[in-house]
Amino acid sequence: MARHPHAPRLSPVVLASRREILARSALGIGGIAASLLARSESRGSEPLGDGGAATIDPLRPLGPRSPHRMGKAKSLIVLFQYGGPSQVDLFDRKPLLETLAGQPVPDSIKGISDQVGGVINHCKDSLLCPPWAWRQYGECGLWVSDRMPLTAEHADRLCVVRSMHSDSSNHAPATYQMNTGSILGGKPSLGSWLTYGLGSENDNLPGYVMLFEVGGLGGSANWSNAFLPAAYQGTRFRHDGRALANLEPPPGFAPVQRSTLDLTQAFNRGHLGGRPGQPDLEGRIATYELAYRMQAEAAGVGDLADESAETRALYGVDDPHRPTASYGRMCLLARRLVERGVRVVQLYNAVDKYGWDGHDKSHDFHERNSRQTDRPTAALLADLSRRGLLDETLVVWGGEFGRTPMEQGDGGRNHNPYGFTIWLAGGGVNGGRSIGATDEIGLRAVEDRQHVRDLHATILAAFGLDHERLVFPHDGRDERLTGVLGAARPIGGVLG
Amino acid sequence: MMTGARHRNPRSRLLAVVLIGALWGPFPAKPALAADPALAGRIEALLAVRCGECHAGDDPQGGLALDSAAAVARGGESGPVLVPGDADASLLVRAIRRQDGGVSPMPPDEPLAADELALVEQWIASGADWPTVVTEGEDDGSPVGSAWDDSRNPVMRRWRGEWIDLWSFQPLERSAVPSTRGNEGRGTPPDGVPAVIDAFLEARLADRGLRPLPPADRRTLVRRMTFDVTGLPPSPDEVESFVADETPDAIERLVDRLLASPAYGEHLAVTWLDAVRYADTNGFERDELRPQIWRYRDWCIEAFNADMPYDRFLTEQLAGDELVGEVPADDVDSGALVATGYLRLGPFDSTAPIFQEAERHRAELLAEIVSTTGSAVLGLAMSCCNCHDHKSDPLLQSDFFRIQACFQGTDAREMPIDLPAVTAEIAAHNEPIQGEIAAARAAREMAEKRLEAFPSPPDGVAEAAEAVGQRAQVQAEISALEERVAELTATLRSATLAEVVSEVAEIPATHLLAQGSHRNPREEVVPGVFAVFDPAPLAHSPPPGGRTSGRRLALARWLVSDANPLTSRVIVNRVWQRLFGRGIVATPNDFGFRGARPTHPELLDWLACEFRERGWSLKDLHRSILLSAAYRRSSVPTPDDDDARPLDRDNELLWRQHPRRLSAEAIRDSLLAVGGLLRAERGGPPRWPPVAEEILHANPAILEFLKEGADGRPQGWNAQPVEETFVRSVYIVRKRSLPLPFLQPFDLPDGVNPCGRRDVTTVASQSLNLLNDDLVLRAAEGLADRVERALGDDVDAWPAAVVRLALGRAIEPEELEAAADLVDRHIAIHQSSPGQASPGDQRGGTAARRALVDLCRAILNVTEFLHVD
Repeated sequence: MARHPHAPRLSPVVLASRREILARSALGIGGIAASLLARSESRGSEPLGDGGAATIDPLRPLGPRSPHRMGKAKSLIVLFQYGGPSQVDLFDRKPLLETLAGQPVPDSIKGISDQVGGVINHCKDSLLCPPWAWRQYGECGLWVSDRMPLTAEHADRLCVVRSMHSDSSNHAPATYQMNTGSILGGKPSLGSWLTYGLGSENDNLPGYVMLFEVGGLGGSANWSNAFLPAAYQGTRFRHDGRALANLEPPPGFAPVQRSTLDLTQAFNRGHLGGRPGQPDLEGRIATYELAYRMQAEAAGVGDLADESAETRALYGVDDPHRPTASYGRMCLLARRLVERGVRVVQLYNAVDKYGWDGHDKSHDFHERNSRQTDRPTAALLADLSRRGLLDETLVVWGGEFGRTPMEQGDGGRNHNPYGFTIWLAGGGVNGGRSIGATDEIGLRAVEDRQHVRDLHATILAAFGLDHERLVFPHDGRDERLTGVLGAARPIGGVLG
Repeated sequence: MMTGARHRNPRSRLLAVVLIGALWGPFPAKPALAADPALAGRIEALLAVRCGECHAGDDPQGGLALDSAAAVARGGESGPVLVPGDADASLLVRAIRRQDGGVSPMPPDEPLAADELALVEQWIASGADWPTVVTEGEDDGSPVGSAWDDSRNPVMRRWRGEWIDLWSFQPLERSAVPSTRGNEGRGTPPDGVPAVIDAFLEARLADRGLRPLPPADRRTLVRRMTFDVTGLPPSPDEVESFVADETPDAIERLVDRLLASPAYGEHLAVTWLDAVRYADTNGFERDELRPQIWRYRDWCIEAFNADMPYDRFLTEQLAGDELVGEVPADDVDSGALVATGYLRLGPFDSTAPIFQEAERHRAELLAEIVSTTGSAVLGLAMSCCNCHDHKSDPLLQSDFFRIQACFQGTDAREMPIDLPAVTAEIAAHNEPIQGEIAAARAAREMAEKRLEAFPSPPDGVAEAAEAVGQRAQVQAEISALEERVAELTATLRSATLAEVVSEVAEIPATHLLAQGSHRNPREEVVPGVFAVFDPAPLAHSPPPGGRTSGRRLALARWLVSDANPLTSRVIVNRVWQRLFGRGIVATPNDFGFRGARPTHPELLDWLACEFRERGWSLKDLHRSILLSAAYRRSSVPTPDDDDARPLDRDNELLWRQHPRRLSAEAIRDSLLAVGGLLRAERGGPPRWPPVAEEILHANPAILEFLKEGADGRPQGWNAQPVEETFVRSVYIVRKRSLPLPFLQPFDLPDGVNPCGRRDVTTVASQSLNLLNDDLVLRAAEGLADRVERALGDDVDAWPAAVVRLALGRAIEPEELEAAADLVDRHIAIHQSSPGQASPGDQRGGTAARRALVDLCRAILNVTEFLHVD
């Protein structure tokens, strides 16, 4: 049989790792004699393979791995602004909106209405002016509205991208895209890709933690591992810091938890003894010990008693009735998690199912959400910085899309995936920089346009990962976060 | 026409090769064939993605189309854009380099990445060949044959025959069975299918000098076989009676008993539901329940239990309505309608129309059905072809849309599926009741009018007592009538509804979509199958008396026809994978070049032929494999077998069985079974186990519907009392935005991606669930109940009973010692700290009872409970 001209381009490393995964974990064969417990104490990093696919030790899927090249970022915190914050009310000042408040959309913009899909049809032919005062901040002179005054104090740390665009004006598909790259869901999320690529630095906590009161529309597909191994799925912690899903022994069982587990493990060792070289049996024994240690470690993460009064005040978490209490607590938890070596923390701002989603009375939504989030966001940046963590912690702020400059309903704004703003800070990001621009009313990205997949490529690049080489063979192709089309590239100017 | 017969003849294959050679010879001086088809293919895709939005089709911008060889060669209004061999001189390159003031930078929005730019330059430098070969003067007008037989086949033009040697596309041929070698019966032909399986396997083992392991002991075998066939553990009695059964046909009888159990269909259904990414809800923002789709799940289970032939099983799913017409004549017909639920299993975004994305979503749904059918039925990774010709398999993008055209008219609806007699019965039953309801309503209206007619007394004047009484009387009358209407309504019988698929009257044209985007329609295509097999349009006609086009039925018939070698290979491989932990092809959803090669291709083909010839019986296939010596082998090598390991570390040649971990469902079902909690109920609407409020409230899809319904329960998650949900896991609701927290960590598929083979991972959240979840505590309580019922407070006998009930074996002396020690120590602990708060009454009982529960909890956590040898 003739050799196929386009024989599979999987690198040997991928084949080896797939083979090993199949052989070791699924079929229970392999020659791993070393004790997993001993191994999990070691801190060695295994490099990614030449082909970019991670070689995964099935006994220690979260073991740290080194990236394709040096990257400054070691941890990621995503501050997901669910519902779609309005760029023209926060970080994308458009003086023309003040001039044209209440007036029809300029003809020059109407001319491109076929490029902005349905959203324009749902709006009035009338521009809605942001009622906020704007000021310039930092040496860079970044314009920010007075809805984000405390975050704005960090202007010289922020890299603001004002020319984002994405593919759906509907919450669930847009949220899927921001998290997984695909508007249909069913693909691994950004956090899953990062933990697949790099593992985590703490064996006693999940590598990828979700924090929210109300998660994004579309549910678990937003933090799904999809076809990546289950070790890389997002694990939800409550916003009070307790991990969900059976972290603690049920009431009444705590006093006997250890001795019960000891009997289980005695049986397990006996079972393994008759079946040498079955790593999944070894792995099971090890994960029981890990689970036991997690009970202690994860409980400690949520206990804020060891934070100073000053720090608690900084995040605004002291008074449970303050609007900042919930988001502040999540931001503080995010810092505590990355401090402990967790690779990815993603939190959602929403305390209800609306978030920033102001189809009517948009200003009220922005008033409320900024009051809840501005202080904690600023606190997180300040706190990471003074602890020396900001250099290696990439912070990304943004929603699934932005909003229209045109009015919808009664003082509302519609969804807008055609032009919106996100910002990045820390983790090797060039602070004090702005990239790209929307048109004169802030509707559509026109200069230096950046797609969501470019943002994803940028985030991976901050960690030293090449988005085209971080692949996983699935369903006949090498899947990657940025899709198989090859059209993504890191946003120029973001990383130093 | 596809030429199954010619194709099967090796000589015609040879002839075809010769003809191809002859054809290439006299090609024109400059064949329009890319020097490097891979490069040309990538360029075609790149130009389609990055330029196709404007520069393609009949009326491209600037007159420049970049979607065919001819168009590229022609150039645009500014003249030719390419100088083959000279990238720097090409207008196209100057535009995409964006450094030339005289040329508009392209693409206007997003520059090409450096590697993309380099690719275009390389392509032009190497001659700018276009992938599609245009042959001239060869067409004599006769029908074009398969790629193996006819050089005019589009796949031959596209790739010059380089890819058609894909093993899974080769005709299915019954390979010669090796003579049995080894110790037993040297040189004799094997007798019966199980022996044939062993002959194939053992021939390969002998070639490699590998000695297979001996059979597993009977205790191991009955446990393995029961889990593999039913997904449930054997009861201790079933274990003991099989171990004690010394009759020669004990194994045959065990296999027959298991295959006859309804649990067989329940367990096999999980495999199929994975492959077709079944869920009970829509997914996306609202993730609504599909209230009737469970009937499809039950139909699958019943079909497997009745051993419906697999070809029929597929045909009903693709075209049940075309097979039986819209009004079912019997239960089989009703089932065929329910089966079409297959076509609407995919995720569905009900909010797409709000944002005028309905058209986009419709295109996605259609594409998704093609991809799912490709992976589930054909084992082909077809989603690549939605955007471009396949990059490694001989599949064209147009193939994707030809198959999509078969589904183009699908129309999802909720429809009654009752038989005419039942419909008539319901009508007869309802008619008088509806009459009474109408009468009661009329009477109520009259009463209301009377009420209105009462004169209101003037302001400040008290109403006369008599008037008050009369008014009250009428009001009472109205209430009584309303009650009567409600009572009567409750006695109405309703039709049985199912979520089915039919076809719209006017099927819209199907267009190939450039880059898979609904905004870039290209040439129209008509229904067809893979051009490599048959490039002609798929012959179809409306079924007798039907009003559908017959497209789906024709497709289904082709899928199960002799012309298609994939379908039977794929299902045989799936069954093999269930019983050995790995398929003969390790990638069950990818039989393409990028998938795994079969470890035993001759065996796979022999079994696929046998399967077809024996009427596509899945039970037969299971039976044959289960009775093979290979299936029954031990999975645990002894130190004596160390010589075998380096020879075949991955056990590809099956010198032993593969040990395996139970699936998520089997773990939960085993816990319920061993705890004595598993209910015998089968089928019906999905059950909704309670889930923590904080999980429900964090899911906006549930918040959306959290407005309470009439029964006071949230609408997004219809939690039931937990005991009512103690049915097999296949009946638990699959909500796409919220997988059941207990099952999910055990590698439950996401219900969005078709899953041909579950991952088996070992993660901490599994251990946390098994240690701490309420379900495990209840199972431990239930197991303790069983022990207490049998032994009372004979504490010393407890450990042996727990091990026997949970693991189906006798306890070992050192285990007994450790377990007895735990019981003693825990009795002491519980005596000193009685009466702690607990969920439910789970920490109730005496100190001894509580120690027994602890023992049960420890044993339900052991690896031996979760793994099968």
